[in-house]
Parts: sequence; structure tokens; C-alpha cells
Amino acid sequence: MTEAIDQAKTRMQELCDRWGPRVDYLAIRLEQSEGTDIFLRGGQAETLSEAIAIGGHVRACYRGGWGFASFNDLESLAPCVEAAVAAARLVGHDETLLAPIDPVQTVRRLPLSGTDPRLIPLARKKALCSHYADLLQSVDDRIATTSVRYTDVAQQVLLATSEGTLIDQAWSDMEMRFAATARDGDTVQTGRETTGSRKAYEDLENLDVQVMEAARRAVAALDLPSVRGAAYDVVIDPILTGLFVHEAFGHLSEADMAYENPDLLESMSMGRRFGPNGLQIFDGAAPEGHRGSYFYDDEGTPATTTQLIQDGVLVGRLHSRETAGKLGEQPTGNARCLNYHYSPLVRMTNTWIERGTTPVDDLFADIKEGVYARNWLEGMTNGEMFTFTAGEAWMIRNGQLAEPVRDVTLSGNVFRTLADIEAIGDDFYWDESGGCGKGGQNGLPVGCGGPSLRIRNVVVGGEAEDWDE
Amino acid sequence: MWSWGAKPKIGMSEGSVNQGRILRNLMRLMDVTCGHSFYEVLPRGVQVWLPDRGKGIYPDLIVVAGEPLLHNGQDDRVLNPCVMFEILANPTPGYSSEAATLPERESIFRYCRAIPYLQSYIFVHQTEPRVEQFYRAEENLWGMTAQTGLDTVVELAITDARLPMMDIYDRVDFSLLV
Repeated sequence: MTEAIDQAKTRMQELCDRWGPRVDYLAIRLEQSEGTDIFLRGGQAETLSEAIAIGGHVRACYRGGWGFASFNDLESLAPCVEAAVAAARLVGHDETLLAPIDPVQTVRRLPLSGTDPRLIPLARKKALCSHYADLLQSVDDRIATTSVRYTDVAQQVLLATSEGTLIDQAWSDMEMRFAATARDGDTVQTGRETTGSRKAYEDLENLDVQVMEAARRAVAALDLPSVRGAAYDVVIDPILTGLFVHEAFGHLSEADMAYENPDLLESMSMGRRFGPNGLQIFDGAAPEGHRGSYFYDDEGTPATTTQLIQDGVLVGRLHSRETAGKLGEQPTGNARCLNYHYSPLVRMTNTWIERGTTPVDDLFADIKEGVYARNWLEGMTNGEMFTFTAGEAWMIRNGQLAEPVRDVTLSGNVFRTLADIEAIGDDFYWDESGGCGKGGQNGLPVGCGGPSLRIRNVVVGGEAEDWDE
Repeated sequence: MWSWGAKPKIGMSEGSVNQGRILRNLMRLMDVTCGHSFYEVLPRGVQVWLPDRGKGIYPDLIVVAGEPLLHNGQDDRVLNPCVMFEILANPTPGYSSEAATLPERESIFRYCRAIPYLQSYIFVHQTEPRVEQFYRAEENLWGMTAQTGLDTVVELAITDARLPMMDIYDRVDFSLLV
């Protein structure tokens, strides 16, 4: 199959040369992927699959109108080009505005530092999952059920455009998710851990301590009191910071969201102050070694690092070529698609808040009654609003960590919360567990990072009472 | 409307006329739009099993992708709904449509979020034309859309189904007391 995709390069270029003059822009993206999906619940396999796929899509733009066609048979490539060109010519009645980029011809491979997951037999991957499932179950008799999910995918992507770009790039991506649910009567508590890597299968091995922590937290939470709902000064750990910067803020920085929503575009005005002077927020695929790292995006724009917030002020946003062209800004290399079924959207890559200067212990100082929250279990976002449930939490009393509590949900408005950041810790952690969702393209690998933060006046909710059981 | 454990009693009405109309409309719409494809639409009476809680629930309507996955092979315990509908009773215990945060907007959705196959959970109001869809944006992260009024369309996050509100509320009389 590798030969097939390699041989297609010439045909892709020929088709771009032949059909390119009929439109303003023509791109053919061809992809070959090999992947594994394993899901164990209660130690039993519910999913156990390996899949190989080859397919592609064609995008054509003519006078601002887009034509799109996808295929999973190389014989359909030429007809799909014709169909996409015809569709674009049918709907285009305006002006094509794509920010210019330099055409590039290159072959790039994201380097692995260890074993390629394609070289590991399915049985060994399944055995690893079973090992972790057994570990989760072994922690306590009150573990009611466990789940372990393993996924890997190796993708090779060719991109040819009518502007002369021909990029061949490849990477491997791996992810594991663990959950344990403990039950005591009607009290049910869950603990989760997630990890991912674009570097080595070995990164998923030897996670015993981390995995058992998920089960330990679930069991421990059974006997904890719920937090009393109120507004507290809160300290969050780097994983929650990463979640917050990605989910609550990052999606609002995606220029397609703003372009399609005038109110949001106004809210996200360049030069507007969002946070304290020490707040720096970035996104970029250029930093190597993370889940959102790559060389070129799915439009052939080189990966960059984009500063979104500088000294607390909005200075940038994330672009595809089209959003950059329409807003008169520079493309940032953030046009990504999950696979050949989809058109690229503006997506985050690796998103992080830069390390601050406050020693972590000092974040707790002077908090008479507050909450320290670590990791997360689940969440919801709705525009500017967010709700995240902490993975574990403690009360802070008189500047010191006090008793552990459970059912801690942090809610708020992202703009108000950014403005309420009081101190930025001098620690930093990259969370490689992210699978981002947007526009039906869920599970796109991303990295999230940040330091611990102290935020004032966060609405903390406790657990609702059970009913009608 | 949903119920724990025990199967709804046949012959004893638990829901209003409007609930029945909405359920009929949803069944009809879903079966037409996706019932003859990869997906299977199953009406109220099929038990969804929640292994975490060791008990089952009876949603108003579910959609399963592919074949139903059964808990320990028991054919009355489905594990893998990808879409669930809840027609809201008035009031629904624990549910607040005014709630701005996920934990406050509860009902049985609170427990169903642990179903790994679930992609979309849809609340359908019966006292006004309003549908709220919670969709799985990421593994443990949910987004929300809401449609109000009869001239809008509910687009499901999965199955490609598009449900006109006019059809969801066909023959529903909002002047009826609940």
C-alpha cells in the first residue's frame, strides 16, 4: 500500500496542473492510515480491532465558493477532482481570499524515539490493556467496574496543490485512557487517568503507579464529604490549567469561530486586556514532541508558534488560509482535519500558558478558605461558559492544604476567570492526553500545558442530591 | 421522561398525551432518517444497562450504532446507545433548563455520561418547543446546542439526522395542562 500512495504523487501533481487553471485553488490530500482500537470494560474486550485505510479528499475554491469530494479508492481520484472543481464553480460568486503561502516540496517524518506501535502485535497491546484493567480492579473490593481504552494510528499524508506544493509527511500517535468506578451503596465515584504520545510505544508501558492512582482516587472519594458550594479563591494544578486554556479560551481564539460570530469577533478584539500582566498564552505545532506537533498543516502552511495573549492582552488568533485572508492577518498553520472524510477546520495544536514566577507554595498563602483542585473528570463548555469537575480536591484553610473533599465543580465565564487570575505558578506540565473535538471531528490529538494558577472568586459547586432511586 | 429499574407497566399510562405525541413523532422521524442505515432506533421499553451503577434505565428513545451490545449476553440489557432522547416531564426531578452549568442540569443524563458509546443526549421539552442537545465534544467533555421555536431544525451530532422542530412537535398542544 505504501507503493500505491507513493505512486499517486505523480498523478496528484498532474491533476493539479490540469484542473488548477479552472479554479482559484485546488488541493488534493491523500492519506494512508493504520490504526488499533482496544476497549476493555470490566476486563472484558468490547472492542478489539486493527484497521488499514487509504483515501483522500479534493478541495477546490473558485470565487470564494468551495467544492469538496472524498474518496477511498484511488481510481476515484480523477473523477473526484472533476466533481470538486465543478461544485466550486457552481457555488462561487464572490472573491477567493486565501492568505498567500510559499509553495513547498518536501518529505518529513515526525521522529519516533522508541518503538513504532505498528511493530507491536495486537495480542501484546491487548495484554497491556488487560494488565492495567487487572491493576485497576485489584485496588479495592469496592471497584465496581473499570475501563481501559488503547488507540494508535500511523498516518502518512500527501498534499498537492495547484500552487505547486507537494508535501509528504507522516507521524504516529498513541493514547490510553483508564477509568475506575467505585461503588458503596448508592455512592458512586470515578477516577480517571489519560496519557498519550507521538514518540514511542514504550511511553504507554510502565504506567502502573499512574493507573492505580485512578482507582485509588475513586475509592478514597467514597468516604469524602462533598464540598460546600460557594465562591472560593481556588488554586488549580497544571493539568486543569491546560484544560482551561484549551477548552475555555483556546476555542474562542479559532478565527473561524470568531469570523462566523460577529459578537465573538468583537469580544476577541485585538488589544483587549483579558488577564494580568504576567499572563502569556501560546498555541503552536512547531514545538516538537507533543501531541499537537507537526511540520505542515493540512493546507501546507508551515507549523508556527502563535502568541495569543501577551502580558494579559489579546495579540493573536489561530488561522487557516481562508480566515487569515478574510481578516487580513497571517496564516498560522492551524488548518487541520481528522482524516480524509473531512475538510480542514481551524484547530488548536499545542496550547499553553507560560510558566510564571510565583513559587507554587506561595499560591496558597493568605487564602483563608479556598479550594485546591487537581486533574479533571469531566466538563462542559457553552460559548464563554465552562464547567469542569476536578479529579481530586482539598480545602485550603489559612494558607494551608486541609481536608480532602469531593464533587468539586468549577464554573464560570472564561473572560471573567482570566481577569481573576491572581498569581501564576513557577511550575509547568505538558498534558499529552488531549483529544480535541470540533465540528464532528473528534479526537484530534492536541497538547495542553501550563503552570498552577491561583484564581479568585470561582464558583464551586458541590454534588446534587440523589433522587427517585 | 425516564424510569429506573422496573419496566414501565403496560396498560398504565405514565405520560401525558403530549409526551406520547412527541415520542411518536421522534420515533417516526428517527426511523425515517436513520433507521434503515447503520443505525437502529429502539423505542421506550428497551433497558439501557449502566454497569457502573449496577442497574438499568428505560429512556424514551435510543439509537444504537450497529448491533446492540448486551451486558453478559442478556438481551434486555443494552450497553451501547449512541443517542438517547429524554422527553421532559414537568417538572423533571433534578432538571433545570435555566441551569448554566452541567452538574445542575441533571436528570438521568448525569448517569448516562459514563456510557462510553453515547455521543448525544437530547432533552425534548413538552411545554414549549425547545430541544437541548448535549453532544460529546471530547472523551469526557460535552458541548450543548439548543433550539427554540417551531421553525428551527435539530441537527444531531451523530447519524446525520436533521429533525425539523415542526415535525417533532406535530399535533402537540401547548395549551394542554401537564
